[in-house]
Amino acid sequence: MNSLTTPDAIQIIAALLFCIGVFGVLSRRNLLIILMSVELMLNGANLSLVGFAREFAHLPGKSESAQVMVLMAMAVAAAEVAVGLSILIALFRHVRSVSVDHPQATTLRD
Amino acid sequence: MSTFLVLLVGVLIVVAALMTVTQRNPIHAALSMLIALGGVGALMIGLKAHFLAAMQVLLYGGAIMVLFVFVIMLLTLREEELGPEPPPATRLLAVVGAAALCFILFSALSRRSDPEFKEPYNDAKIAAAEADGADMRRRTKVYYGSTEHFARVLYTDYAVPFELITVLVMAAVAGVIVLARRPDSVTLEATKLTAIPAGGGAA
Repeated sequence: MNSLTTPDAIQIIAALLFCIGVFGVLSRRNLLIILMSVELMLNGANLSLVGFAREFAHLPGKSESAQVMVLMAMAVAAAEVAVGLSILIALFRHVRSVSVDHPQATTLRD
Repeated sequence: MSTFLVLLVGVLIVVAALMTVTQRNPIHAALSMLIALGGVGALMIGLKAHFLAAMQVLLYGGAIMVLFVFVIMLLTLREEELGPEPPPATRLLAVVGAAALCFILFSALSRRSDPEFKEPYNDAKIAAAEADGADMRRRTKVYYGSTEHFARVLYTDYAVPFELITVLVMAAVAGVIVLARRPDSVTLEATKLTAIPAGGGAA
């Protein structure tokens, strides 16, 4: 990381994006924002993978495997958001709040 | 990709991400997240991942963002329904935790020895063959990161994992139906079309 060459710049942006996502998950109590923070973390990891794929593209190998992995991560992220938001709606219907600290939020059943 | 452009998009992404996690209004947070995701898509174009950049716009900017905005509009949250935010001490601890993770990642990055982007292997091979005067057919001229290149890898080496994604999506759909169903909701029998008046929906 001596100079701001492009591969390191990409990795720094990806690391910052991931850390901001971690901060969001740790500091917020709104379930909607927590889900968005998880999306930011996934995007940080994806950006890192694409950056490494490009960095090692000059070697005779299959560095584009990382790009396939990113596509898989995107599919998992889409499924995760759909399930997460339906849990959010179930929670809201139950306690009329989207706060994960709500006193009744831990008693979500059915 | 010029360093200036990377820095510009990087600052945009970081600022938008910070706004996402600090905005109180969910719709503001969602729109800030859209900017951050668009910036990541722009960087992917620069990294020769053209297909993934398109998927980033379609999947994140389209599908996931629509889901978020739809749920926010569906709930129409009032101020008290957003719930209280944690005390400053909790936030401070969250900052410390995220900063510690950042420090670990950066110290790992600082051990790398000046990496740089070189010409991809495929492109170099094509250029060398053409310099030799070989008349390359279009079928064998697959540049790195092009959609054709990506598709060849996805549908040969990774065909089985790709198909398994369908199982995941199916499970997600089933899970969403189970979770979002109202426990006391009307049964299928009660929703038969007999409830609609003969005049159609015009009334």
